[in-house]
Amino acid sequence: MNTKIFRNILAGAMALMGLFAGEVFAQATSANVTVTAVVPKACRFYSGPASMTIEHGGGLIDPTSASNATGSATLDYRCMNTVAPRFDIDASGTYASPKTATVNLVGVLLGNLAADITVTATGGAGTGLGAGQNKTATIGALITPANFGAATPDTYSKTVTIGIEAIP
Amino acid sequence: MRPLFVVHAILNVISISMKRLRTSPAAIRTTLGACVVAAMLGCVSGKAFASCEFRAGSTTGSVAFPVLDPVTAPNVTAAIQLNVRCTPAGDFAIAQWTWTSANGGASLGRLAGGTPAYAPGIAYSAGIAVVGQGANRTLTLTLQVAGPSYANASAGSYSDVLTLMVTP
Repeated sequence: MNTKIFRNILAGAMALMGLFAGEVFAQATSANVTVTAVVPKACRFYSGPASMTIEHGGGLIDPTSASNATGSATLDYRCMNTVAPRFDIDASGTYASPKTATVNLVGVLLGNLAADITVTATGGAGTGLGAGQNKTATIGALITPANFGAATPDTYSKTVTIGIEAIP
Repeated sequence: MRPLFVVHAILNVISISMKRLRTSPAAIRTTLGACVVAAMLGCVSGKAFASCEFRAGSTTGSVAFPVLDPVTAPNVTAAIQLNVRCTPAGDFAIAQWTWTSANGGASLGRLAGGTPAYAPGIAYSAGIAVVGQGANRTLTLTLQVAGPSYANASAGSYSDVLTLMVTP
């Protein structure tokens, strides 16, 4: 009986030692590493260049017309999910949505012709920058009768640079 | 608790085999020896005395990916180094270094976050390399996010916790 008791006590002690050792050394067999990342808001164009003709019809401006001569074009953009874009015209440094600016078309022969440009995020907020997430930006332009009525008959043109960024 | 079960199981087997001799001095010595062996087995089965471990100061860490710009969406990598030790050093040859992701699994990590929450998360891969000489060596954990994994992600902060483990 004494042997049995002694044996059981010893076994219990050994088992406790095993458990205790397990508690002490098991901690170092694993490590936790925290991983972080930041994704900034972003938008970009996925098409272009585009071109437009400002006209009353047939590619011409009627100098006797009392209505604005107009033109439009579209560009595709993508923004991150729920992120809305804003635009800049000719690198003014000021982004807005919609963005408007007056630009001077330059004649081949002589003089300039002022046109009002508006860029609108017709497609609204983005749904991601991956394939198939294109949204449409509409670029509208107009020349008022006051401006084309005083212009020299000529062909006028200008390359306009449209910038895009995410609304912070 | 696992070591305790092992100890008792072995003791029971021994007590049956020693039934006739358990009161003799030889039986006592045998039983004592069995207890020691049983306790050691218990420790081993419980991985209490693991031969490889993460050294003090390397049981936690943090690593941040560079900014994940979804406009260009390149593959992005980040790495962290941890100090590890195997005793004897020869155990580096058999050590198994594994990891699990709190938001992902054992084969692919996943960064959770974004505003609004980006349900798929940003998947990333992880690789472990151990280099050096002797018992103390350097473990390098290298993480990589592929561009397509975050091209459609929401803007914002993301995080995950990787648990690294070593056996034996």
